[in-house]
Amino acid sequence: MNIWESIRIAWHGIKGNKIRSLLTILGVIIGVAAVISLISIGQGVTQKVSSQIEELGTNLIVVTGMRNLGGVLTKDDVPLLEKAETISKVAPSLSKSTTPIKWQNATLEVTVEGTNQNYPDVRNFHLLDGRFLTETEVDQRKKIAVIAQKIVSDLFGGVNPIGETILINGQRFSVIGVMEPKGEVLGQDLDNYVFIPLTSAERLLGTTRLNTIYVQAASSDQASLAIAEIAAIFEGKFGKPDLVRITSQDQLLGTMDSMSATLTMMLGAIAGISLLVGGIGIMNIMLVSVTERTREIGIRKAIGAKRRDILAQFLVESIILSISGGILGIVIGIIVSQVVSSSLGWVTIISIWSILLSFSFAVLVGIFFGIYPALKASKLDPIVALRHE
Amino acid sequence: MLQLKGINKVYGKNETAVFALKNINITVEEGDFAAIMGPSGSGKSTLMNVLGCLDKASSGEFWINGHEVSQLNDDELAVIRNQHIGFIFQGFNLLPTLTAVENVELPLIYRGVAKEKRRKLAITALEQVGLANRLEHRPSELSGGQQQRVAIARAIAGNPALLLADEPTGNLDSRSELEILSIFQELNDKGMTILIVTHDEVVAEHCKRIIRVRDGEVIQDQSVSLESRKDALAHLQLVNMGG
Repeated sequence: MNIWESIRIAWHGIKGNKIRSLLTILGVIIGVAAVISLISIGQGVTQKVSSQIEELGTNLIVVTGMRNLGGVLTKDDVPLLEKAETISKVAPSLSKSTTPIKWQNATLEVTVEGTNQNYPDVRNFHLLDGRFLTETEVDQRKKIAVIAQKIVSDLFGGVNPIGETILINGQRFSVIGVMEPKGEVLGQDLDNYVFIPLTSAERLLGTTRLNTIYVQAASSDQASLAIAEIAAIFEGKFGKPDLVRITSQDQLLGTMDSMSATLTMMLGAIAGISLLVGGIGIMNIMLVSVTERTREIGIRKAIGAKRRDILAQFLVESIILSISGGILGIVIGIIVSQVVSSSLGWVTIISIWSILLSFSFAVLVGIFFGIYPALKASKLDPIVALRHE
Repeated sequence: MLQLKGINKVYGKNETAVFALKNINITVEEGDFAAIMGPSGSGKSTLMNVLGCLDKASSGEFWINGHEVSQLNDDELAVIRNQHIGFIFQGFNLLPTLTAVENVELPLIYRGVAKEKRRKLAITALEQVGLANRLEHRPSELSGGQQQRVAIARAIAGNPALLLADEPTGNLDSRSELEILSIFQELNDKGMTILIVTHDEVVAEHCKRIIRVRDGEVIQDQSVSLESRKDALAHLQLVNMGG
């Protein structure tokens, strides 16, 4: 007897019991759908976080001082860093959040960030309108400001702000540019910023301690060299190592990638367990089915079915069940993933490997859990089986 | 064509050994039509299982169509059952989810006969038992007599050497019983070898030969006199004319 006959007979057995067959494969359907949709969500999160980190800048290295230990950064560090060959640009940052600003009668609390002309390049920010600060303006402590997109709508109510004067902490600043919207990155709203010359910020905020120095490495290959050089520069300045924290974009990316890969794997593994449980469901029903069809098995054997014919019939039946469950699971998994992405606004990425992985796992589960019932069926003694009521 | 030589079937060992069959010697020639009779517990079911290659004898030789089958394993016996024996059971034993013609095709599937050919053979067999117009009916849509005729069609579709029937009329009313017996008669007239296990004297009367079994032994093996067969056959014809 060839395999097509086995498939035909097995299919007939499944068709004869539609509702039960569907319930049998429900576990596999849910398992496969869960693997595919959860991995697609995990991958979506990974990609979103990665692209957010990439948007932070190009070859960005972030330097922060350990103030408690005496690691204070000032604008004097900027030229030291600029001298390094592995570094192309440096943008200092002195910022204060919840600073009140006022235009006419409207007020708003924003983050004021004092910096220099390199900021847009280093942080990968772009101007929407007007222009950014120049080196001269920074040196001359000009009272000018570049505002983020959100402030245009929230404070100016849509009026073109360029040339307008705003009050920051009660001091008058003239608006010269508007930044492109950046959205929220890693929980930080980047559209609520006012950029002013570093020198003006020192006076306005009454401090020379920088919060952060943003450094752009000359190339991505040189990022690690740059980190070492930065560390050396500050060790030279403070006379002690480890008074600054240096984080590169690549490190951040790597950390986030491995974190989200772990997350994705965990989601997949949990979903995989439900697949395994689905397989046990198949075995359970197949065992019941073998008992119920003992007489049928007896008849088939009496008229000439060999052991392997019966084995094939039941094994093929459980494989067909798991394949159908797998296919339905793929369809439902894709639908769930689409629904999640459209209703919750999450990015989901359905990967081919997750489909192949879950599908082949489902089929393996079907074979593995189908073998025992099929063997049991094939070993039945036809005389005993025929007597079975 | 069928020969049992010193067949023993023993359950248990040594002191507790029970002989279900004791030194059975039976020869069945081609074209024979024999009834195996005996009260329950006489060993006739065991004999029937051995004859049907469903069970193996403990010792002795069993030849069927030139094959010595007493030493074969399960799968080899399955092949013998498939190719040389047609089974008819008391409970019909049709698969309820298959149509009549699909049921008849079943042994041919296991024989590896191609689809079109086995459909043709199945239809021919159903025609022989007068069910050409019931091909697509399921067993539940057929009467007991019709179901047994489907079972006969299934048994003869592969043209086996031996037709083995176990109480084939046990579940039927007398009308259907006679229908079935007349089909057996027709098949035997065409040269089919038939063995019927029964405890019904009326059924046995239709056969050419009666083998009586008791306590695992053959106690009588006699031909049925032509006279009593004639009576039985006349009865059949009467029924046939009436129907």
